[in-house]
Amino acid sequence: MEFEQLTSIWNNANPTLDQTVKINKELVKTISFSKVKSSLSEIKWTSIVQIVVGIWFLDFLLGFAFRHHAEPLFLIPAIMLIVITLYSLIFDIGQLVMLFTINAKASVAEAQRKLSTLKKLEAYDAYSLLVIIPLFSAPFLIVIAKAAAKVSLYEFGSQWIYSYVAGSVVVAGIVVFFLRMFPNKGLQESIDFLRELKEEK
Amino acid sequence: MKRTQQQEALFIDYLESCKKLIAKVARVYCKDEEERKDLMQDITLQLWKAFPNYDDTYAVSTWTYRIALNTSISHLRKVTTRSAVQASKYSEGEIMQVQAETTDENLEHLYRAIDLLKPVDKAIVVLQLEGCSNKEIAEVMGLSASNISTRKLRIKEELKTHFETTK
Repeated sequence: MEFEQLTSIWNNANPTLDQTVKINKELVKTISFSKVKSSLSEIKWTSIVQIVVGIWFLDFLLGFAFRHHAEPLFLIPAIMLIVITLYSLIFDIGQLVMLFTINAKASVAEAQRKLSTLKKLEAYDAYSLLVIIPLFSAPFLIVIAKAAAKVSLYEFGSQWIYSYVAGSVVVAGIVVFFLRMFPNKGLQESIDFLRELKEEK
Repeated sequence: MKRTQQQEALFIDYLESCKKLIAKVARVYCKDEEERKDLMQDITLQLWKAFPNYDDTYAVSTWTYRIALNTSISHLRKVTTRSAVQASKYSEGEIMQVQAETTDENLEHLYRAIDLLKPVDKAIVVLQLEGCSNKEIAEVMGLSASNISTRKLRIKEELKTHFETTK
């Protein structure tokens, strides 16, 4: 079977498709471009809100660290949260920039590479939260309690912190284990696709 | 930015000229009829979105193939158009409507053979069947012409095997 024969079969579909596929001209006329545009921007709002909240939280943490710079018990958790918030902000901004630069008009290989990277970042983000949240929730509680209620959680002893962190690590480990057993389908598809491109180079 | 009537008319003419390609690409990537309708809608919306910024560095065909194939292969529609599609689809119907299709046995056989290929190979076959040269296929795909040539040989073998075993 040569491509010429297949092309002839392929082109046989044309007259039928001419008859069966109809363009809803009225719909093209009535749907405004702005409507599509606004729907698209809704998707990006989530990332933008995350970034705004991140900046606000960073500002709050910097203020807290400044006020408690002479108290290591509060300064250290605040610095831990500053580092993780900065990391998260950079990550979110990177994802947003990538989302904006993905272009359907790009070559198939280029679009796929960007999409695969984006998908990998999304998955990495999800996986890292599973570790970040348990590890950083104790410092978060310490900082928030001190800032909002002027309560030092250290007054309740340090045993609860160790137990809390240890428990969270175990929970995170179990969740990561299950995620590895049942990997994200979208991510797997992207990686397979990327591998396919690489193999053929 | 609101589209002018002239742009709408131009887009409708353009869509009319490429509707067969959209329908065939959608058929290659979606076996399920409902999913196919969604994909056709997605491709149309991507074309519509990109239409005012058409870059004449590329031929219209290259531009159309890229958008149609990228939308079909990738997760692009999942990350950028889902809500747009839903918004327009559920409130106002479908831009591209497909009436009952008559079945051509040879064509169905060809679609079944193509369906066994990998997503990138499917795209190459579509472009080959549309009559594109290796250079054009390479431009759409972002791969080298020699790579395309090698892939085509392998694809041809795969298709040949399929047709021989299903005779």
